[in-house]
Order: sequence, then structure tokens, then C-alpha cells
Amino acid sequence: MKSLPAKAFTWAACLAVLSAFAGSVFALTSGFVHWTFEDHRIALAEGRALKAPALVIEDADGKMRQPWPGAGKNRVYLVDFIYTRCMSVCQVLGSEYQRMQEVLRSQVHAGVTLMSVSFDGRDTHDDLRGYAERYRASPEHWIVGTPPTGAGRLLKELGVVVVPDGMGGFVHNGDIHLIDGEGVLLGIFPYDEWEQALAAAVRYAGRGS
Amino acid sequence: MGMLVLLPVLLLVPAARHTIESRMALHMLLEFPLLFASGYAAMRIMEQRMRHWLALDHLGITGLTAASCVFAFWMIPAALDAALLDPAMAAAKYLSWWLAGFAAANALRRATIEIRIFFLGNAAWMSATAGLLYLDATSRLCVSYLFGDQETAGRGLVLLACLLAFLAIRGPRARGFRF
Repeated sequence: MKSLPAKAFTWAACLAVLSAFAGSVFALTSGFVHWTFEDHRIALAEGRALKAPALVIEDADGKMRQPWPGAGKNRVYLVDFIYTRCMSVCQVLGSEYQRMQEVLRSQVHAGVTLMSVSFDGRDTHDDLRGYAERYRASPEHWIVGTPPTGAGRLLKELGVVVVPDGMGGFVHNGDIHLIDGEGVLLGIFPYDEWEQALAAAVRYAGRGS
Repeated sequence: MGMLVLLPVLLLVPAARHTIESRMALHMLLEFPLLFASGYAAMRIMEQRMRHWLALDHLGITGLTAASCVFAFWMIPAALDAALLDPAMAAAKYLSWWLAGFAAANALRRATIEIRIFFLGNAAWMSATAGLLYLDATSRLCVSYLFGDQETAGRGLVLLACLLAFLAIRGPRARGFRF
């Protein structure tokens, strides 16, 4: 093989490889913007591109409830994912939900419901009732429960990834999920932005998402 | 060499794969090198038979460019998560790292010392940058990994950077590999 065609071939091949690389990174990061999974998920939520599957949930009183679909765009849910054995961050989230419940009680905000969904298969009915009692969750404002078939599919469709923390607990992405009565994810908020989450919920419930 | 080629068979055992991929440091610093080593060994076995094709790659520059791109791509946090959540991305990861080793094995032997320092130095720089970014992050960058894991992986990548920098200057010299 002469060196001239080899050089030409090498230039062309390098250009092709680098183009493929740039294209792959562009596709992965949605145009060099979202470098992490969670950034990408938040952008999808902003674009209304994530939808939760139809959900039936058994609440702490053993009642079956169906938050979505069919509840309409004027109803919204502030959903968090919990396991009742959690001693660290969930305690904080539980208290944020308590504060949101106080706001919902003192002001009339029709159409906003808080919902804590357990993803831990170990959580029994009594555990969930205990959780609801610990945070004084009242059923008309705050549903505590778990889907009878498990939360796996709901988590997967929403892009929530639960990782065992090696100490019997779990860690997961996404804190407060704002979801409308048709299952469309409208926003994701961190724990400490519960006020913004609630404000957004009230806004959507008022005018429809 | 033959044994090295077969190393990825280990990943066909679900328990082994799960153990390796459930820790960020093992995923990046054990699984990636393992796939790379397998491809590397496969090339060393086959390079005599492939010499006419390999000669098309002037001084191994294409092979080293491709391997560098694979290296860079899999440093991205979104790519690591995607490889765990999407089977197609997982397949792309296995294949691309294997091919990176396959391409680099012969290319490194044919590269001049300058080209070798350029590419290995570049890989060292990328590894150090990614490692420091992971170490510096105040939150989890991958939804599939714990925060502590991310720090361990960050430290590991910085160590890998040192190793790559060492190999760039002191590794087996380009011995004028000719067909």
C-alpha cells in the first residue's frame, strides 16, 4: 500500500470518526445542553413529554383511588416517592409535605392534592398508615399509598431511578413531581423549593395545564 | 492473549455484570478496561492477518482517534446512566469499548512517539478532567449511582490519568512496527 492513498484514507476516516462522535454526543445531550440524565428529564417535563401510566393506588385507609387519567387538566398532584423506613431525607420531605398541607388547609385551593407513593415492597398497610399518622396526613389533601401492582412501572415511565444505599435504604432522583389529572408530568422540584412547587400546582389547577 | 479475549464472557453472568455495574468506579475502571483489553488482545492475535487493511490507517491515527472518542463519550454522566437504563445503549457500550481496544492495539504499535504522546496525553487529560468534575460535583450526576460512589470513581479517574500520562512517556516505545 502506497503511503499517499493511506494518508488520504486516514484523513477521511478520522473526519468520519469525529463526525460520528460529535453526532453521538449531540444526540445524547440534546444538542450539547443536557449532560446528565436528570437535566434531560427536567427538560422533557418542561416540554410535557413525560406521561405517567394510568395509576390505581391503595391509600392508607385501604381505599382504592385513581388519580389519573380522567381527572382532567384542572386537577394536579404533587407526588413524592417514599419508603416508610427512611430515616434521613424522607423525614425532611415528609415535613415539607406537612407544610404544604397546612397551606392547602388554610387557603382553599380546589384541585391540588398531595400524594406520597411508596416504592418499597416491604411497606405494609400498617406502615403506610403509620406514615400518614406521623405526618398527620388528612385524606382529602394528602394521599399516602402504593399501587397494588407495585410502583415499578410508574417510576420507570417517569424516569425515577431508585438505588439501594447499601444501608437498607434507598436514594432516588427527583423530589416533588407535579402531575396533572391526565398523568402528564408538568414539573420536577427539589425538596427546598416546595413553595414554588405548590405555587405552580395552584396556578395549573386554576387555569388547567 | 486468548484468555484476555474471553474476559467479557464474565459480563454474560448476570450476577457478575450487576455487581460491576452497580458501582460507578467498577463500571468505569473495571468494566471499560476489561472490554478494552479483550479487543486489544483480539487485535494482537489477528493483526498479521489484517495487515493489508491496517496499513490503510496511516501511523494508526484513525484507530487512536476512534479510541479517544469512545473514551470521551463514556465519561459523560448521561451516557453512563443511559447504558444502565437502555439495552441498546448497553450494547453500544460493550461494542464500542471492545472496538476501542481492537483499534488501539495495533495503532499504538505503529504510532510515532509524538503521536503516541499526543493521544495518550490527551486521554490522561480527559480522564483527569472527568475525574475532577466528578469529585467536584456537589450532587449526584448519575441517577444510577450514590454520591460516595461518584467520589470514588472521580479519584479512580484521576489515578487512571496518572497511569496514562506515565504510559505516554515511559510505556513500550514505538518499535517501528512494520508489516
